[in-house]
Amino acid sequence: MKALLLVGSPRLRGRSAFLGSALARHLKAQDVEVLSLNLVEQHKDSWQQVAAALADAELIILSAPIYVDTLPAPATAFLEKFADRFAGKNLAALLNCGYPERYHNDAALAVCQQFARQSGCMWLGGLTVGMGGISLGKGVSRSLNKGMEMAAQAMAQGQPIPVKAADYAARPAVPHGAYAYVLNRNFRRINKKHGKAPLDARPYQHEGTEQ
Amino acid sequence: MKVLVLDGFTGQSPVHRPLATVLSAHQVEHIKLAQEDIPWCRGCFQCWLITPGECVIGGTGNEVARKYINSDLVVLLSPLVFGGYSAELKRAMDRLIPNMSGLLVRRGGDTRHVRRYSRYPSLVVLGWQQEEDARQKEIFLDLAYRNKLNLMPPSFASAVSSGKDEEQINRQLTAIMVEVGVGR
Repeated sequence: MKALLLVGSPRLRGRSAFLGSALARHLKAQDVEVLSLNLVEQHKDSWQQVAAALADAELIILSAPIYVDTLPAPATAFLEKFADRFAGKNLAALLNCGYPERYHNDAALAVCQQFARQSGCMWLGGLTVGMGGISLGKGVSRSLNKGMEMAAQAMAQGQPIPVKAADYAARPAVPHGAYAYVLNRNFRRINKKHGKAPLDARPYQHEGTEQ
Repeated sequence: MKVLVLDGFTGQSPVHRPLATVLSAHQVEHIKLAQEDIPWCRGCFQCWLITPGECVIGGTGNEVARKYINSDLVVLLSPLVFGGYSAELKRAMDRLIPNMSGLLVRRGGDTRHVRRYSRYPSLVVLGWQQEEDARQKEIFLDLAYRNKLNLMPPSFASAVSSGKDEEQINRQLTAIMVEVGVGR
């Protein structure tokens, strides 16, 4: 089987790419051939290539971060542009958000599912993970790895991702409060060292207005 | 009242005229995002860490974020695209994150961003679909509500219109504008 991993993040070596390649390894272990493309990098000259890759794949996996509660703009633009190339494919999503709670991925997951309905592909479900903040959540926890493995086994058979796989994948690596604490500490540290203004700067507040 | 309309349509829609009518007594800036050059958010986090509150890309995307903060009401206007926003609207929305702090705070069992400004504009999210599709509408209103929780408007309303009956859309918009304190 051939699969296409679409990485929908403007960060070329960010968490979406990282998680996508971890899932790709599990798919390869199931004898699935995986081609990976970052869709934010694509442009007029490469559209033909993208179309060919879409045509060639039976399984398409969108790996994307959450920006302002749903898919980033370039991922949405891509889906709008290529919707008619997805008919008859199997589609799954791998979503990650910067908040510790997994449910912040749910609106984007619903959008992906709706895209599947409208574009005529078979929706295999998704894996959603939280805690994507800077320098945290790097690496793959044991439960996420297990969730990915179970998901890859199902997808390789053309089957939906089991709920259990999604639950394993979403299990938080650390408690929510601990994640927020560490992220804030890192942010303050980076700002102190490299920042050109304090973290709580208000550059857009009009002078003289009470805000 | 200062109103900023962020318009994610590529052309005219049956919502445009009713919206202009409903807002006619106010100082409205209507930005057709499809006609603006707004590069995508790069996800670099510099607006949270290095130049807090300001995106390093600059240009119209920064101006939209500035105008957002200095408005009393922001209207997000979009066709329903797979139940979500159009890429045109989302492109501008992704560039709004400097208006929040990157720091996280636990609030009522949820994690949210710390506010950067003490006051944010009220928010109206308006979607439109050619034909009524309950599933898409549900996804859209859920997304709008999630935005409300993160963008912290003092008042909020959302609606999905469908079809081409402008009079009906006008009545619908009039009703929801009351919810955010916009009288005619």
